[in-house]
Amino acid sequence: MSALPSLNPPFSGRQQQRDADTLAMHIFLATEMMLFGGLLLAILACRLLHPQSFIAASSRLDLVIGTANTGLLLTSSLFAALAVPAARDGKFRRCVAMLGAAALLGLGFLVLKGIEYHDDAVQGLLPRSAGMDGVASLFLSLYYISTALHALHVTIGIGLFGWLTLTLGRQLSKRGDAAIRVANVALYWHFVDVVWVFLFPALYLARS
Amino acid sequence: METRRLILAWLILMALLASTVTLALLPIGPLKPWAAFMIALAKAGIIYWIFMEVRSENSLVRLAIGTSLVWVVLLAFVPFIPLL
Repeated sequence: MSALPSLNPPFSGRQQQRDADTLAMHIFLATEMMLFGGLLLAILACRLLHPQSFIAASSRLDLVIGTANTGLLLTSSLFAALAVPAARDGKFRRCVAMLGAAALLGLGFLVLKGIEYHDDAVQGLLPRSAGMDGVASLFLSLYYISTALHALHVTIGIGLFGWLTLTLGRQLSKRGDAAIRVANVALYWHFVDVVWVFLFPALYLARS
Repeated sequence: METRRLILAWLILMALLASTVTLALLPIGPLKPWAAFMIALAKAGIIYWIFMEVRSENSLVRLAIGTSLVWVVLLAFVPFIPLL
């Protein structure tokens, strides 16, 4: 059974309050879009200016791990999306299960990313390694900056899922408020997924 | 109904992932980066429209998202300025 959120000032109605919550989240995500948009465009510029060296450097990244990580994040997004209607309908056990699954898949993403970083380091895929030209170093710098910043966002998302999972049980009297929080955290997680959807082809799929 | 819609969207996303990786390994020449970019756009569109429920949001939220996209497009022109 769904429940109404508590009404807080200065809002005159619950729908207005809910719209303001969602709008604020989307405006925050717009600032994130500018941050990652700049990085993606730097990657694009590097590819346009130095296509051959860029493709040579990109081909050395682990396509299998990159693809598996994309699948993990897309599936994780599905579970985050399933948690939202569950929270709205007051099905909190189902909601917690969905959030837990989304967090676990996010954790899987980080583990695979860690393995990939380790393998990259072992193979000497580090900026300014011996025998590496300037464009390859630039590509790897962009790769590490963008993927590490993305991994930081994944970590924050997992933390938010953990926080929601731990606090949802105590908020049964305020189900409506909890539903808004679940929806906003899910929005954040989907955005982190969208960022990876663009990083993946930009970094891993530049093949000749 | 909602669950079925979300699962269908996920299946399409996974199919798009499979196609983008397949296309990256095929010899399709200069079309390759454009194909990858268009598939990424399609995936982002599905995530925004279905998972992020933009389809049922009001016009103010859509305007906020549209405005951020306009800024990214403007930003996209910056790398091309030295090439003009």
